Amino acid sequence: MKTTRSLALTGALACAIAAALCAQLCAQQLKLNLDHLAAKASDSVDVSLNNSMLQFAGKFLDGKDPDEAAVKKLIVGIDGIYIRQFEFKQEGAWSQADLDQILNQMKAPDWSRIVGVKSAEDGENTEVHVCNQNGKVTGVVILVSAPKRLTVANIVGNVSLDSLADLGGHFGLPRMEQPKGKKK
Amino acid sequence: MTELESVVQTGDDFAALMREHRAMVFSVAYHFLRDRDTAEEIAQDVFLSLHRNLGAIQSAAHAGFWLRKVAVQRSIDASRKRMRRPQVALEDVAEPVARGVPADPMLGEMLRRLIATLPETPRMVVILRYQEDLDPSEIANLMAIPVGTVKSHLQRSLALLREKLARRGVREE
Amino acid sequence: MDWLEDELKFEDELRKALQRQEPSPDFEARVTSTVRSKVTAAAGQRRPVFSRPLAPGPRPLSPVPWPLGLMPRWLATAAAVLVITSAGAGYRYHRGHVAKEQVMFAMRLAGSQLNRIQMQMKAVRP
Repeated sequence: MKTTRSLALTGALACAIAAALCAQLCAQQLKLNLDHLAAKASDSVDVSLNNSMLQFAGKFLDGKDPDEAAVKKLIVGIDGIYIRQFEFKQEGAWSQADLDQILNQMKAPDWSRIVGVKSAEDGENTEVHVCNQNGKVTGVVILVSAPKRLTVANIVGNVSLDSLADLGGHFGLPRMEQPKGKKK
Repeated sequence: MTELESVVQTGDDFAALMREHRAMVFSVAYHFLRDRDTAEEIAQDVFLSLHRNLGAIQSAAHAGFWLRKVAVQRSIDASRKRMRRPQVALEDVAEPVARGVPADPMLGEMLRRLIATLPETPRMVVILRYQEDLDPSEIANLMAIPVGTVKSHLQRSLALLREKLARRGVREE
Repeated sequence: MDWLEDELKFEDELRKALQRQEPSPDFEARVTSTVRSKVTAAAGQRRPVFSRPLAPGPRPLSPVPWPLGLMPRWLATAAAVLVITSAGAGYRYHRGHVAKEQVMFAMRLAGSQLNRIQMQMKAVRP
């Protein structure tokens, strides 16, 4: 009887831990409820890659191609990539409420906005938010909003921001020099 | 090898039918429902149904008729299951906000949107008439409705579509 | 006869608007994959040989000397496995490349945005 009880308690504890871990992991993956925008968009992109799909895709990345090799290395620690991108023919198709439902999911203390850039020229607003747990980045959200365009990219998992930024050196983009030490 | 060949041959027949008719089946569902994902699901379902019933198909023409009929039925069923928008008469549909005189390339999109607001039966009649080029008696046979009803739906739907488009043009002045 | 010409023009516009469209490029592969998996399931079922009569009704689309249901079970299974293996491998390859392209797109998008931010921050840094 004692053995059965202890087994049941162990099982319950294991379930609780699993649920907590799942909740933690899930917190880095946002709910992107933007389907209503697809109907208004002239063009839309929907990428949804979980861990198994990423590992599967990784097998098809060519290690000899510098771009694909860089990506292959980067996705090792990533648990998921979720992107919604919309382009509209006219302004006013998306609203602040659409952004708020994403921003509200990043109100937990683990999340912080690390950079926000506004372009006066084209009205484009870019924000980068990261989820930091125990000194490690476990989630990134890049939010790009413009009058006729909206992009949300959510990367879940052990994300190396340096490596992501380093990707700027690939895909034909100019490489940015990394700052050498901090200015005092 | 005869047995293996027969399996491969059945597969070849099915693949050939799918290649020939996939656009038709998909387009009936898509123009009716205005939803690509649902239209693809329906199209997949229709072809899986065809595969199950391949033995009953008499000829290539029969296959085309069979596929069209099942595509129509499944599309109407899917529309009835969808609770998103209630069916409204075309006269009751609010005009879209006018922003400029629509250029010709937009006319097609406007027409597709207006057709999608028609009630089920007239909508499918219009699609079968102008997507599939079926005459009223063929449409009546396919949808199991009287020829007179088909002609009446066509006449009324076209008049309403023209009126809506004309109103849109008048508003721009 | 202007009204007739108008009517014909309008009907032409309707035909253009309702032109047939193709489903997604992997549509056939998905249907084929589902069909093959059902063939395996059917071949695996216990079915007495020669106990099922030929389906009544019109003749089939093309001559099929031995309907699938009457084959010896081992032969039907072997045929299904052969077809599924080749179709499945092809489909897996296709899906893998689709996934790869999505990953590359995602990385390009993220990388380009971060790179742009870095450039803008460098531009304002004293």
